[in-house]
Amino acid sequence: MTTPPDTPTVALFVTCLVDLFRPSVAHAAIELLEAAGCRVEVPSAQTCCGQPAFNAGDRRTARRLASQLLEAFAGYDHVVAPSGSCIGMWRQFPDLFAEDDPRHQQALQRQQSCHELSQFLVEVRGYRPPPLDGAPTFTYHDSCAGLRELGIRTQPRQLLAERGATLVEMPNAEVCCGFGGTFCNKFDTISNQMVSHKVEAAVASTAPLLLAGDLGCLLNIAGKVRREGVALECRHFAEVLADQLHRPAIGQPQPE
Amino acid sequence: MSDRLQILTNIRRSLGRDALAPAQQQPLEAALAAPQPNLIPAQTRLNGAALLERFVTKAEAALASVQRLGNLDELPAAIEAYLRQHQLPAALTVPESGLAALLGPQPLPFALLQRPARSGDAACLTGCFAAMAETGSVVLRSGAELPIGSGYLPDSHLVLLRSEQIVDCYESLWRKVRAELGTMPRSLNWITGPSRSADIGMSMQMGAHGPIRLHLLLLESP
Amino acid sequence: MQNHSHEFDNLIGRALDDTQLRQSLSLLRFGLSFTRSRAMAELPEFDQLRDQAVAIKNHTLNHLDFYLERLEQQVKAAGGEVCWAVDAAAASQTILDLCRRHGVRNVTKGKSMMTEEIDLNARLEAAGIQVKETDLGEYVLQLRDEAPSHIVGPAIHLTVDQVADTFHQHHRAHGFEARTTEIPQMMREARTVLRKHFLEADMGITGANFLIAEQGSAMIVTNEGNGDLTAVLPRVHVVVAGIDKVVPTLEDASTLLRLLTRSATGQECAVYTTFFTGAKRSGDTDGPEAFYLVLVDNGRSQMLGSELKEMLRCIRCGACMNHCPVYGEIGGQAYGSVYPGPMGAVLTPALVGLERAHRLPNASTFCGKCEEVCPVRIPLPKLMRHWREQGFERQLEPLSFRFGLSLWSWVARHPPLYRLLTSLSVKLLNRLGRRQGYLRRLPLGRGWLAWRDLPAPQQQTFFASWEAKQNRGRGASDV
Repeated sequence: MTTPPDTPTVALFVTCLVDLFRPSVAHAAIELLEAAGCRVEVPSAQTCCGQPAFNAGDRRTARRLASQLLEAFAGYDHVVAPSGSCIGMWRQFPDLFAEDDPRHQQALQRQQSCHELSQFLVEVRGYRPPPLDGAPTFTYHDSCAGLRELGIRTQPRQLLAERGATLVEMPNAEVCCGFGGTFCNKFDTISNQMVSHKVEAAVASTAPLLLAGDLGCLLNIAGKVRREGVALECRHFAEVLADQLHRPAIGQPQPE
Repeated sequence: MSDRLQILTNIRRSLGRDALAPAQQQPLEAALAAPQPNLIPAQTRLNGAALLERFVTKAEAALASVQRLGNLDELPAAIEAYLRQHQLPAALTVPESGLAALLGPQPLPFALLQRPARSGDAACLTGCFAAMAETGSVVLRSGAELPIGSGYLPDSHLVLLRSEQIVDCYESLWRKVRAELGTMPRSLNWITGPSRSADIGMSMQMGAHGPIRLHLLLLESP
Repeated sequence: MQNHSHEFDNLIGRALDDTQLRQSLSLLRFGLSFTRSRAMAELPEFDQLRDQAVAIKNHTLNHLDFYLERLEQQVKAAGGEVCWAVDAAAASQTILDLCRRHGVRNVTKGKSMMTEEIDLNARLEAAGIQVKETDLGEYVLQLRDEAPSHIVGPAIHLTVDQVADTFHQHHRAHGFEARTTEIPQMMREARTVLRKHFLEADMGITGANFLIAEQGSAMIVTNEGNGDLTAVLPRVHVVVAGIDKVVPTLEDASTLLRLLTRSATGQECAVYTTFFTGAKRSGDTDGPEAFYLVLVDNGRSQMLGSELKEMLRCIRCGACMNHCPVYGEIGGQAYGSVYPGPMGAVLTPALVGLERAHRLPNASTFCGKCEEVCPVRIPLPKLMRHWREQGFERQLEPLSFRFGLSLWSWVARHPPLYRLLTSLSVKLLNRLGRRQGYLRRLPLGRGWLAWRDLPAPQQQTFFASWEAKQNRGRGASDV
């Protein structure tokens, strides 16, 4: 499928974790979206999708943040984010508003036009990245929200394969890594067991690199890798697609 | 207010309505009077040799043993061989007098006890109401000379069934029950292999409380 | 069983330290997941059956009064009696009354979560009635006075040695002098001892997987056959079941049954599937003289009119907990409830109150695996979130958490302030951590830092660098 000739305007939802911990992922996303023939803008009135509040039972805050985002992103053809869980939250926006609230309609419309990055590139744009020399061997962790709420499994793998990267599946790739937002702090002992299993599985794959599509998962896994002194690099898949492997991986020393 | 009325009232309040009017009950009654099957798995819709083969395959997968017989005359020898093979006493409990008679004239190569099975019986022979190829199950029902205990108390349970008794799926069993019995008997028991449990050390063992062995004597029609 | 959900956090600690439990949980978890997948693969219409099951349950719930009345009518026509119990106390009192009516001194029980829910054993034993659990795993636990750790394998937290000790202690009175760890021999012992109990029971009590309105039948499935020996040998059979167990027809029960066994253990069919309809009829060779169906509400009729309505579709297969990564780490005892795992996290607060049980629906990452495997498509994460909303309104979370969340929420609603604060924090964290690449000691996030390091952020926030770039004019992307 060749890239359609139109040039839609995509508004990038950076996500709070990318904004705070790893902006290079957002830059990679912009690069990829432009390579896929989109015009990219980054609305400034964006902070958080509200999922921490929503999952903590604070619907009021979630509604206010949703309202803020719907307004900030109004008018763009598409909203794209480098995170399955944040887009999963965007797709919950309609439920936050009463049916007679105009924002409910707005949220319903936006539900159809908000996408996770790999899903957008593959399914909407038909983007095929050119092969990369020296593309790495990697294993892949399927973030839960992306997998079960959005059906993301083959899309990042397909993009990475076209880039020439070699996938070695790890056992239990689809089992939760134990991040779960505030869960990893509230039930830290259980979360620790879950992330330990995930790290063991990644090591069992023998791949030197772990990729995923959600920074929450990645910070969790990379943080555990670092604490245990395991030799495993963790990156967002966009970093491989945008050829950013010269940058330090998550949790690795950064040059001055 | 009785518990019964309280519960029904709560249900109606939760559903936001009163008790259903006769006109509203009518379609529900009609559906109950003529129950319709839901989706039946395609793989179960078999007949003839394929039906028989599926029954045998499933029964054996459930760890029942299946012995195919050409005619009734083979039955006493088949039973005797089974008892000997498993080092069981040469004695067989047979609750159904009709089935006992089928075994043929005395002397038989084992003692025949025509009575309901008791705890401690090594082997008991019953017939069955039906069998289902969907799962390789035999179906027992309660009734005269049909003690349900015979499927659970003996150490080895032997079942004589004719291939014509095998239906394809659960829904066909219900059709047979309604046609032949009218309504459900007091007890209708599907038995799919011998009793088992893995509750101790996660190691699967036969004979948890029911029979240790289930042996099906399948009389094939000519 | 007595509820201990308020001790959840302590029980988690104990569970995580129990090596035997965790080894068995791991084996069982991946074993059951594998067998379910295989069963699904062998039944191409699995997902269509799920859709039909949802329709059957929803229809039944929307006409629950009609079907319960029809069920009652049919049970009576078959010579049985129906007792309605509005709550747990009424249910166990009813059964106690039945025991007295029939001069019952010995009771055998098939596995029934409902009898646990109403704490029946304690009630009967207090009245001097001997109660024997007959499911092998439950029997062992009863001897040890312990709660089950798993719905399929209740005693998986026990080593063979522990079971051998228990048998040695209790089976001597039945003539078994020697202690053995040979599993076949242990099974034979249990079989012999329990056979005696089966034969001397005056009353057998079972649960029901489904109650079939059309015929007045109660259906159970077991692999051991203990439910059947419980039901057929004594002179009285009592079935105890929730009002949500009713389904319209035998055909509807068949659809649900196909999903139940595959979802629970990956079996196409249980070894024993039995349909009980009323009391012994003239002509029957054996069977109970008296048959009672005790229908228990215990909050279900209320749930029917609430946001938890969909929970009533549950057929108690256990697939959700078999696949739950959290349950898979801690097992069933930690939840302190009759119902553990995801379905327990939704049901327990409804039964014992949110104040007592609110940690349960919080112990989830919302990974969604439970909803994915639920045969009747219950949106378990959504229902757990409902409880969290209730908990938020009632301020059940600790102050520090609520404060932190409030602060974050408020700042997030004010982008310019958010930019300023995040920009400063990130610069600081980067400066502190960039040489190593991570941070190990911080005044916040104790739960995180106890087990993980925090990767150091990059030099500045995205928006700090983006705004800088906008000011410079667009160029090559850099950080």
